[in-house]
Amino acid sequence: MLHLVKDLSPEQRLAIESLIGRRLQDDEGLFIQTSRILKEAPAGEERVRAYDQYLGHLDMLAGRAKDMPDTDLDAIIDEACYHARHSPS
Amino acid sequence: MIVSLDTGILVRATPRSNGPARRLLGIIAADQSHVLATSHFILTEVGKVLSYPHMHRLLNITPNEIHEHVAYLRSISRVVEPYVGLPVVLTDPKDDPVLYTAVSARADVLCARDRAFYLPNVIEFCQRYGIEVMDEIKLLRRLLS
Repeated sequence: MLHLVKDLSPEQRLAIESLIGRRLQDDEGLFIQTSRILKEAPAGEERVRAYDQYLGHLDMLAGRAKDMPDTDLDAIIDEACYHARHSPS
Repeated sequence: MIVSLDTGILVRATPRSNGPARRLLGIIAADQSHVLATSHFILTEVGKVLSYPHMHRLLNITPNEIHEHVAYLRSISRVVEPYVGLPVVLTDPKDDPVLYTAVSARADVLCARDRAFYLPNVIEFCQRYGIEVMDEIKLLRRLLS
């Protein structure tokens, strides 16, 4: 949503100026984007355990493709990635 | 360092235990200061790529293993819900959620191979948020230096 600076209350304007570290001009607009961290990355022992599981799983799967030449593998991955991103969900 | 890996990099770590993408994940794992950042968009894509018939046959992977794989990836990651703003990757807007994942996660690096991420306007957009775009080889070198 676009907010025009000239429509902001003095308090809103001051708050935003303090966040962005500069004065706003009346003819400027603000486009505010929100985002959320849904889950923080683990730390400490939990992190070690989670990575061990993930990397172990990767290596287990890698063992099944060890005979495939790198060039063929790259082509399959590129094709699969393109398909996943561009096909209707 | 906060690192956001595009789907293609994450998937490349799967079938090669000695490839650069897999080594990269090993290095990230070994240093507690590194954070892997992702989003539902990327996690879902990883699942879709592994389900793709050729990949599915190559890895002989079961649906249950795909679910496990995505769950493990989620468990190691910072997961964000990005706000996807104005289009940035004009040649391929479907890449935008990856870009906005890196922004929302406050990533230092977006690691991707797709040439669309290296277009001048995309690099400039990323620089505005303090994000460097590089492939897995360059990131590997950076982390090893």
